[in-house]
Amino acid sequence: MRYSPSVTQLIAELAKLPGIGSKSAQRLAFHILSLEKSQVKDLTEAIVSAHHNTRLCQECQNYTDEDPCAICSDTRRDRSTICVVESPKDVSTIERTREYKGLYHVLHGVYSPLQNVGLDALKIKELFSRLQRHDDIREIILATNQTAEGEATAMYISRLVKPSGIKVTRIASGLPMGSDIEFADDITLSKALKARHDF
Amino acid sequence: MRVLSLHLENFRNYIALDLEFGSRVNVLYGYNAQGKTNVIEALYLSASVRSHRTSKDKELISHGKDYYKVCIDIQSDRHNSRSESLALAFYDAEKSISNISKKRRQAFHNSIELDKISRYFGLFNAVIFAPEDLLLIKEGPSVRRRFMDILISQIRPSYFYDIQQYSRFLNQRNRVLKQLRAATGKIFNHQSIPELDAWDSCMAPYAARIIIQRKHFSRRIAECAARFHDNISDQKETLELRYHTVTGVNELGDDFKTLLMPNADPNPEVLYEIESFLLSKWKQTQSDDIDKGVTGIGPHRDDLEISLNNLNIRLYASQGQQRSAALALKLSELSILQEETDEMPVLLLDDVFSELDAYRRMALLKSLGESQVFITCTDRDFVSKELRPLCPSMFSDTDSIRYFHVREGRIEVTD
Ligand SMILES: [Zn+2]
Repeated sequence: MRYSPSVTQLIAELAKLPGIGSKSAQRLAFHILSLEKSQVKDLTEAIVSAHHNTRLCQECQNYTDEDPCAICSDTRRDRSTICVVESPKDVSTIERTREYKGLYHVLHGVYSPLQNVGLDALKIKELFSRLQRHDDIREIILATNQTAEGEATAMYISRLVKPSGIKVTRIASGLPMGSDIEFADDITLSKALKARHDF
Repeated sequence: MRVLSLHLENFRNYIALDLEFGSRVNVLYGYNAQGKTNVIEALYLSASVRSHRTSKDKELISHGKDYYKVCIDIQSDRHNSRSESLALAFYDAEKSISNISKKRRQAFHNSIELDKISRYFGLFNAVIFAPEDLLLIKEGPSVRRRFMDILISQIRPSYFYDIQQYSRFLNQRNRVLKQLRAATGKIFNHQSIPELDAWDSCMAPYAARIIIQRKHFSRRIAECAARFHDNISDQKETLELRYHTVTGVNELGDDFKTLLMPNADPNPEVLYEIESFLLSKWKQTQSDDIDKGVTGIGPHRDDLEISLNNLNIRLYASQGQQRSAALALKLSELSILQEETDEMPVLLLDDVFSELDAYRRMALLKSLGESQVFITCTDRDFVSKELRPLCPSMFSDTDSIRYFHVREGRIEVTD
């Protein structure tokens, strides 16, 4: 089917987004076209301002408007524990359980040579410089997903952190093997957090 | 176990096919290259998630289509069991116009999508006898590893997960090796390379579990196969099978060997010992591996060695002797599956009788028991003329035989 040039371009842009195939892109495009002018303005402004205002927190590398981010600057949080996760959405998943009171570190990916993601592409150097800056850190919880790549990333970090004497734990296997944290329900996840084991 | 019905979409020469089967003997007859084996292949795929003819799923998709789907309804022989539905789908990523995040392979049980393919194993069990069985003897180790892997996966679905994880770690490790090789001028002796160590440490537990399971089941296969072979070959020859692992785990001391023996769920200490052993081996061969850009040692290189009268069967046996050995292996698969699952698997006999003499035909027919059987042949009367005289009990009741005429991708039920 052929669409007008502007509709075609909108579909093409949407189809570049992760997880959006050409069918979904068409559906989204027609949805956007059916919106009120003001709704479209809200949507585009939200995209532009989120992109403009968001930066990485220099401590935890999570997306934030303010640096350091709300979690890192919250004095009530336990500063001796850092939970290392793959992506910002893992932070919000764990926050939802309300079980965890420590800080985070976001790697922005996992070690996957086959996908050409090397260790340098991850925020691992930033983690080590953080460990050096703050001598009150006692424990690192490795909460990368239990995929092959998540396991290897955790293994790599663990082997480098251990000599420093900081306790390294891996989120317990309350999660089904090979699963993403994102899909774990809150109860499973909080159990897994409590029952983490030495790694 | 019975298959009640089969539904195919875009599978080989069937754009859409629906069949209902009889609960005992189903005969698919017709000239060659009309699509008989494709039906058998679909049934086998439903049990093992793999074709018996190709490792490339793309080849199974009908020409010009972007996916295939195979659905079956099955019923266990256990008392009061209800029918269950199973489905497997595969999408050609290059051609697929649907959502790019969609998984390439999907598995469904009673219409619910399974999060992992390993959960699919064990829901439906089938054993195939086909001319390709001879490759078990004639070809290299990968065919025999695959034979072991599919059998163990059907009995212990977690084994399939171990295999999947291991090969994923292995592929990543091999990529790291190639990257290290490309980093010119560096010499890696036995020094620690953190990016390699990470994969080694992750791989080791999976490798250890695979080795132990294979060791356990290859012993059972060996015992079974020797027994069947005695029957087929009239006890003149001795068939021996031995699990050979290039890792050298076999070289570990006698204590260790006895620890490996008793069952397939070894204690954590044994696992830990094998893990450490593998880790030190990988460290030793590290610079070699970097040179070659691939991992030289691990269960991905193992073999199930087969010998006849103490001689390598691949090199020193006649075609007939090799056929007997292949049949003995397959009969063992059937017997072990039956023992472990406490139920008779569905039997798929794809054009297999033409290859066997009357003696071996008898041995095969005797093992069929009360199971549901699918037979392909060119001549409709093959069963009544050739097989009934050999095994009257099985084929006497004409009501229990259902005939399907396969012609140019169309299938008709005939009397
Ligand atoms: Zn922060």
